[in-house]
Amino acid sequence: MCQVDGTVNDPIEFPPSSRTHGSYHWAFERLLAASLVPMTAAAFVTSGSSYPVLDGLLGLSLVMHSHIGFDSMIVDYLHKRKFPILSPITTWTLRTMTVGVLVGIYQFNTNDIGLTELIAKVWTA
Amino acid sequence: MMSARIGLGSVTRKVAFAPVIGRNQTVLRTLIPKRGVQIQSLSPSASEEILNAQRLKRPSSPHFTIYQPQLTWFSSIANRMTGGALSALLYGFSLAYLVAPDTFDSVHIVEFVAGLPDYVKYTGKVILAAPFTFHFWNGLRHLSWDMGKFLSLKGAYRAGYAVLGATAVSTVALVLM
Amino acid sequence: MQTASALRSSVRSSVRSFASSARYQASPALNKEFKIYRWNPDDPAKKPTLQSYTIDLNQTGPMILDALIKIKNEVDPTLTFRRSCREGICGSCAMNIDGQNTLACLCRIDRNPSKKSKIYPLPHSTFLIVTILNPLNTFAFTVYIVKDLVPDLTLFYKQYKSIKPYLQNDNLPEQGEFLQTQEDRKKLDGLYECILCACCSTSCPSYWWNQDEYLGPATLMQAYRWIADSRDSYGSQRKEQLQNEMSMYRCHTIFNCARTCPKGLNPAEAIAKIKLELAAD
Repeated sequence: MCQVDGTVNDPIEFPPSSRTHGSYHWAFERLLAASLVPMTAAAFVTSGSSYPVLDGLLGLSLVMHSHIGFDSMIVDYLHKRKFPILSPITTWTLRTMTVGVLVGIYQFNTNDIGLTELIAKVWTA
Repeated sequence: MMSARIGLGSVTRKVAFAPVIGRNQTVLRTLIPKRGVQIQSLSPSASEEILNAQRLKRPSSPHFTIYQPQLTWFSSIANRMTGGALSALLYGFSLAYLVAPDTFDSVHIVEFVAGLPDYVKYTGKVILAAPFTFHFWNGLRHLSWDMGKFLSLKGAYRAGYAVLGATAVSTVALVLM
Repeated sequence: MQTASALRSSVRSSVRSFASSARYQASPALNKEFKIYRWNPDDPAKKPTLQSYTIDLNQTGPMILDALIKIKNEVDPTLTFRRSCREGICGSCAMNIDGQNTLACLCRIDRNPSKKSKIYPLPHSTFLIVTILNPLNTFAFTVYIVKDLVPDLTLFYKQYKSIKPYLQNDNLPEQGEFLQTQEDRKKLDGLYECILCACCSTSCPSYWWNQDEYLGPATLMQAYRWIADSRDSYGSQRKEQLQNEMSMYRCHTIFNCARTCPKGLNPAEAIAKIKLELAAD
């Protein structure tokens, strides 16, 4: 059920316009996704010395890509106008987790072998 | 006969069999209240209230449970699910390493995987490779739409089948790697 | 008024079906089952059900709408649906037939008698239950099934109205009409033909989840129809309205809209073009 203001002859109203939530967000999302393509390709051919650079880039952009994807799911399925309590909880849980993930993956990339090498080793283990 | 079928029978018959009464307006007017028809005048706001009260009782119609499975929305939801699953894995591992870096370090993980029987390894590889390759190729399909390519229905379908083919081939290649 | 016109048309179509039944008398019966969504507002507590009707296809016209009219005339006069032009130009008989949204008048009956045909109203989901009544405001609750196959399209029309679907230009030509090159006119092909039957919007999963905030493919394609019109000078305002999270960017290029459009139009392409224009701004 959705409730709309005004009579049947009134048009619906638009939310305040904001490019940050509109075209900038959209364009950033696409550029980020597009930049993952060469990174993924590079991960297959990278060896020894370039791992740290690639891991640093992947650790940041993969996590951002994931965060935007999860956030988009919340907007689609758990919007706060439908779930006034659950929605903010989920949003803030996601934000907290994303920060934790960024720290965790940074530590793994610096203190351990890093993401790309881990996948390569697990794959051939 | 035909009108009887649609429930107009009694009214039309009455008029047909009583042509004298029917033509006489005063008689007809006195007849109508006797048939029990009462008209009540309502203000527009009152009628809106009735409408809103009725709207509250209305059902919603079924949607994804009855909609035909089509490549369009199936590939879209698959893109979201594969992306979500891979991201959940990334989040799960990173948080686990953050919390317990000594348990989830690379040495332990590689050791654990190496100890698994072959069939588990290959199944695991398929489970990881298929979503990854699908999300990768379908992501390219999305990016080309966003650049204005393959936007005809035919183009969207061809690109969709190409994604399925590329997913199958690259999954096999990755599993054999 | 509705009942009166329904009666009139029923009488008319009974006459028609009588004539056609005389013509096909010789053919053997080809019985097919139709399962049709029923819900009666006079008995709102009773859950919607699928009701089964079996009719002889050799006594019926070729389209789903013919079957519906035959059922209404000869089997069950309480079956309720919208229809008007019976030739795919009014958009009234949009419904979900065998899982796909289309116009009943343009949809051929599958003549395989072993396959049941399922007919539902246009799909729609609803989430919010808001019962606060504000005395200063009239709330229109848009949910959804008025009766049987008749959906309430109030919200759909309110959304269409919100994009100002008319020419806006402050600089009127000094004399005569607005002129347009042939190339500029061509940009409107594939956009202006929309009959607003709502098949595409109600096929869109994003619209299922967020129909009160997301405009949906039909309205967005019309938004683009006015953005693309060289005679309109309000393009930037039209685009600015869409600069938010919900109105347009809930479109994830799913393509159900283009797949289902009974007029063969492509709302997905129109929306993709708006997104590109907004990104270039």
